[in-house]
Parts: sequence; structure tokens; C-alpha cells
Amino acid sequence: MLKHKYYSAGFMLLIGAVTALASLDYNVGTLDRMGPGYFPLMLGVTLSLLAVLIAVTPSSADEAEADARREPLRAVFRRRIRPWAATVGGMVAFIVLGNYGGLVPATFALIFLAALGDPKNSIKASLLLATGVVAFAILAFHYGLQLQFPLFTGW
Amino acid sequence: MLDNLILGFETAFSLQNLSYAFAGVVLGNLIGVLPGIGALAAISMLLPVTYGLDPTGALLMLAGLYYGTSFGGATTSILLNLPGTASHAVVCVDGNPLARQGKGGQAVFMAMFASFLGVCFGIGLMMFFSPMLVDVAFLFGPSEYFALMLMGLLAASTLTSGSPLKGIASVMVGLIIGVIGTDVNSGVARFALGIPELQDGIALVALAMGLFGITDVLANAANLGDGTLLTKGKLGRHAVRPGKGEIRKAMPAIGRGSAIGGVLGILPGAGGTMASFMSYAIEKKASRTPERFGRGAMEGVSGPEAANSSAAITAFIPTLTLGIPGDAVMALMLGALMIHNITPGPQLMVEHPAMFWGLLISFWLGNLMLMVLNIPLIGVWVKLLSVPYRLIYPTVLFLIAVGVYSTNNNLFDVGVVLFIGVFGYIAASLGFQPAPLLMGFILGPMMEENFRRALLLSRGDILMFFDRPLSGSFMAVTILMLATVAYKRLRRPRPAPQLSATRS
Repeated sequence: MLKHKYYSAGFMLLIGAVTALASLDYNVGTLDRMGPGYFPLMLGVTLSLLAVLIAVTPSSADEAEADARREPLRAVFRRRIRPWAATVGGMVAFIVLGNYGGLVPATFALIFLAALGDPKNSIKASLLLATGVVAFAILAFHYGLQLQFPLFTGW
Repeated sequence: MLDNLILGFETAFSLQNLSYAFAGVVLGNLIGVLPGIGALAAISMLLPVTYGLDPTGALLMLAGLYYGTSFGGATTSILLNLPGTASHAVVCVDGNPLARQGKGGQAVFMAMFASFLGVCFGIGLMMFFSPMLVDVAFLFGPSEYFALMLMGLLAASTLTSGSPLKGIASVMVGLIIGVIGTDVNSGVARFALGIPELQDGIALVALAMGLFGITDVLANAANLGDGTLLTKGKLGRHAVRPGKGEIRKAMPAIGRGSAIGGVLGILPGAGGTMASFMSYAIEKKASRTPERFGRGAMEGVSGPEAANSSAAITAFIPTLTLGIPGDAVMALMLGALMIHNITPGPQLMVEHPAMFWGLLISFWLGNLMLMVLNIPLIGVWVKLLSVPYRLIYPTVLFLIAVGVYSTNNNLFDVGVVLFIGVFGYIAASLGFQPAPLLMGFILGPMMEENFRRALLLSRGDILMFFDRPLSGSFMAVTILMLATVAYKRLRRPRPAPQLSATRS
């Protein structure tokens, strides 16, 4: 299995290389007359070099520690997939329903889905929490702070 | 000086500003007590609320939020052993054993009292040093600003927890994200991917909430305990009062802590975390009974808390007078000021004296409010802490979504928050901390601006950064820091020290 530091380095190399390549689309210019591409090119190249440095130098304390208590990626996924999916799913539901349904359904879906991420939250508890937060949203944000977000749209 | 102080009192005591500061303190305290939410998440969540206020009110409210959260975080650290921020990791070490012994209320009171004295000390330093720093700041040209920002970013990324090399990489990623948007010099939209919303760049609020709100939820959901309290039973007003002579015994620790915090707070990058760790180490050395430390020594709570609070105040000095934030919280404050079209820097004290001196007085006032408020409220916080995290985090997600939406009335930003949050979580699990990233993002555009201007003035001579005395010495410190990082990295790795901070 690859060491922790190689994953870290690869991640940064990806960002650095993409930045450097993308900044070549803009006018780079010279040191005394820099174009819009100069600074990002500099950043991308530096970050790529840093990534190489992370990979070739010995592991730091936290990386050594991460290597030591390493568990297979699949096990981490199996344990954490539920809260991750609930959080991301809830946010996506908020965006979609916010666009096509309004504040009330968006908030309800967000809270309900997100709450199900913790196995200790029952469906009933999640429904109750969602109803409570929706009531709070209507009172505090719609009427209290006059948020420009229709309660219901497209119905 | 006296005129300025009177102006400060007038500003801070105006009914409007008083209520903003009060609201900030109370909200901050309330949010800070909740486990899993630190000062950064709280400030970024409430940043949109301050858009409608006048700049002074907004700054007073944000500052109130800051020390309110910091104080609430200390309460949670002591009672639940859950440090919301790295600077509170130390307070857990002795505060939590005290809570287990049933002295939780007293420990919280002591932390509060030490905090207040630390703040007073910090305010004193700020009063005398800020005008001096302003004089120095007038010697600054673009090359000095660039060199100082470089030094500050490097210090902030290498001195905090985790691997320094990764800290620098985080800063670089932040700088790259800061490039997104329209280039001010040429008008070219960079890295906008053809999306019109990205031409204005990524919104500060979206980035901060994604990095500190969503990332925290992704890391903690279904992972944090059920908020089981360690001190059962009622914590009345009487349980709060410290024993006879406790305060007198704590005074030397508070004094030393304040001094360490005050000095470290001014330096960029050092800040509260380092100050509280250092104060703890010094108290342990100075104590005649060092074996009590880690098992509930009151000095282990009061010293670091005083250091932390004192540093929190003096950290405002470089932020406001030079426009160089020392840590991520200060960077957010800087961002908030820029949203209100106020450029922090040497001109700030001259152009907005009411804001500067008002802020100074309101630090003092706000912390006084905190202390008075918390004596009756400790019981309420204890109850609040029994709310399990599984009910808190969905609400936090909602507040993030609505908060980001409200800044532009735009669901696109909610998507940005989600994207940044997922990105931040992946980065954090690979050891790249979000705090340096945020600093890079905020300082990035300013750095590019000064870098380009400096090289335009010198006709492309890069050696000019080393020629001028001030920028040359900043560069020398920068190179020294890089050399230290290189040396540490190449040496054989040692096991992590016991007091390793959870996150910065």
C-alpha cells in the first residue's frame, strides 16, 4: 500500500500542475510587466515543487502516525459513508429544492436527510427536528430577517 | 491619548454599538459552547448578518463574537474535554480533571477571570504599541508589504500544528483560489471556467463556511459523542465561586500568561495557540509541585487562558495597523473590513479613529459583559451541553446554507460552499490544514498586487526585495524559517509530542 505522504503529494501535484498549465492560457508577460498569467504560473510551479518535496523527503511525524494507524480505505468508507452521503445529499437537496420548491421544502429536506446521517437519529426524530427547524426558518429568516427567499415557489 | 480614549468610550458606549457588541458576545458565547464549532465557524456563519450594519458596529459585533466563542470554547473544553480550537487544547489537560473532581464551575470561573485579566493586559499593549507601529508602517512600500506578507504567511503555516511543508502547501492552495476572478490590472477573468458567478471570485463567506463549517460536519457527524456531561448534578451560583485564596494564588500564573500572550500575539503566525502552550510549559516549570499538572492544577487553566486571551487582543495590532493578519480569525476580520470598504493599514487609525478606539474600549466592555453574564449562565451552558451533536449538526448545515444564500441571494454560492467543504475535508484528512488556506486566500490578491507593483517600480529587479533594509530583514527571517523547515524535515522524524494540538 502506498504511504500517506504519496497521497498528499499527489493531491498537491495535481492542483499545482493544473494551475500552472491553465495559467499558460493567459498572457504571462515579463518580470517588469507581468501579465495576468504570471502570478498563478508562479504559484502553480511552486506548489508542484512543494509536492515533489513532500514525496521525496522522509515522512513527518503526523504522516508516520497516519501510516501506523492506517486502516484500509474500504473500511473507512463503509463506516463513514452514511454521514458523508447524508451531509452532501442534504446540501444538494437544499440547492435543488431551493430552486424549484422554495425555502420550506429545501430546509425540510436538508435537515431530514442530514439528520439521518447519524444512525442514532430515528426517522421520527429526524422528522421532528426538520419540522422544528422549518418553523424556526420561517419565523427567524423569512419574517425576522426578511430573507429574499420565497417560502414556496412553482406550486 | 486621553482624547482618543474619550472618543473610544463615546463610540463603544453609544446605545447602538453597545447592543451590537452585546449581541456578538451572547451569540458567540452560545455558539462557542456547542461542541464541534470553533471561533472560525461561528464568525463565518454570522459574517453575512453584519453586512447590513455600519462598519464600526460590524467590527464590534465580530470582535464580540470572537472572544465570546473563545470563552464558550473554554467552557466546553473544561466540562466536556472537547477542544473546539487548538488554543483550547491545553485548557482541557487540567480543566477536565478539575471538572471530574466536581470543581468544573470553579475552573470555568477561573478561566473567565484569567481571560479578563489577560484581555486587560492586551488592551494596555494595544494602546501603546499601535501608534508606534503606525509610524513604522509609513515607511512601507509595496516591496515591504510583499515581504511582510510572505513572512506572515510562512510563520502562520509553519508554526501551527502539523507538518510545516504541508502548511506551506495549504497557503499556496489558498493563494491559487484567491486568483480566481477578474484580474484588476488587465480585466481578464482568470480560472472562471466560463461561469459568470465566478468572475467576482469565490466569496469569502462561502470559502470560510465551507472550510470550517461543512468540513467540521463531515469530520464529526456520527463521530462525536452524545454530549454526556461529566459533572452530574446542579452547578449553581455557589459552585462557581473559587475557594479562599485561589485567586491570589492564581495571580502570578495569570501575570506570566498575559505577558507571554501579549508579546506572541503581536508576532504574525504565533498567536494564541503557541502562547497557551508556552504558558502551560512555564507554569509547570515554575510550580513547586509540577506533578499536580495534568491532574487538575488550577494554574494549568488560568495561565494558558490568560495567555490565549491576551494574544487574541494583541493580534489585532498588526491586523489593524499594517493590514497583515496573524492567523485565520484575524484574516476573517480583515476580510470583513474590506467588505465594508475599509482598508486596514496605517491610515485606519487616522481615518477611522472612532472605530479603532471604540474597538479597544469595547474589548474591555465586552469581556466585562461576558464575565457578568456567565456567572448566572454557567448553569444554562451545562444544560446546553447535554444536547447531543447529532441534533446540532443538521441545524448547523441549515445555518450555513441560509447564511451563504443571504449574502447574494444566490443558490450558486451554496454549491460553492458544498464543493469547498468536500475539498477541505479531503485536504484535511491528507494533513493539509484549512486555516493557512484561508489566510492565503485573503492575502493572495493583496500579495499579487504588491508583488506586481514592486517589480514594476524596480523595472523587474528581483534583488530589490533584499536591498531595502526593512523588506530585506523580512526576507532574511523568511529564509531563516525556510531553512528551519528544511532542517526539521530532513532530520529523522521523532514521535509526536504528547500535547499535540488537534487542529488549528
